[in-house]
Amino acid sequence: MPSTEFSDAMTISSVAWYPNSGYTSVTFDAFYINMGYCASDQLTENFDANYVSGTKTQVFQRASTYKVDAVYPWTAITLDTPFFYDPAQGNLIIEVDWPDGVDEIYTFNYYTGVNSLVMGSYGSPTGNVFMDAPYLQLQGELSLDQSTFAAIKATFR
Amino acid sequence: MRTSALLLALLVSGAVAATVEVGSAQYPANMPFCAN
Repeated sequence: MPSTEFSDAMTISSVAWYPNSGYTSVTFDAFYINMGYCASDQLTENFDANYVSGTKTQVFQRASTYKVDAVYPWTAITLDTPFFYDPAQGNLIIEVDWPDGVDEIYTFNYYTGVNSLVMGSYGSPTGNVFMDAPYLQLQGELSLDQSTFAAIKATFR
Repeated sequence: MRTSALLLALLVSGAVAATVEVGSAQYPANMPFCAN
């Protein structure tokens, strides 16, 4: 679904993944999340080339051990730095980086039909492209100055 | 591991707080919470 489905810009404060049953936690050696804009509706294998130049922003950083406990139905990470996303400026990239760790929590993906996911080794400039994406929940606040109250009400449908 | 997801979004909002759900639970995958 294109970014034009956003009725308003929003400030994203957390990102949540939908875990499969039976997992308890995962521990990373370090963990980082970047966000930014993508001008294309599909990703290429080069991570940084997918960003609109100058928009890649680190929104979460843990330089040492970081444990994530599985929470059902949504396992959320609250961003250190909320990200203001304006759909008029392009699609949104969420990049997650980690070097190594122990254990795992499988989360659900869905088929997109376009190149919407890149996965590769930590630190590698490129990865492999896939036609799926994580089932995600983003939470934040709408940018009220860019919408009328009536328009906001309409999103309840 | 390093992953990027291009998000194509559906907006379901409250008056100020917004929740955007993207996609659906189709099949389990080993990212981003598979540590090694």
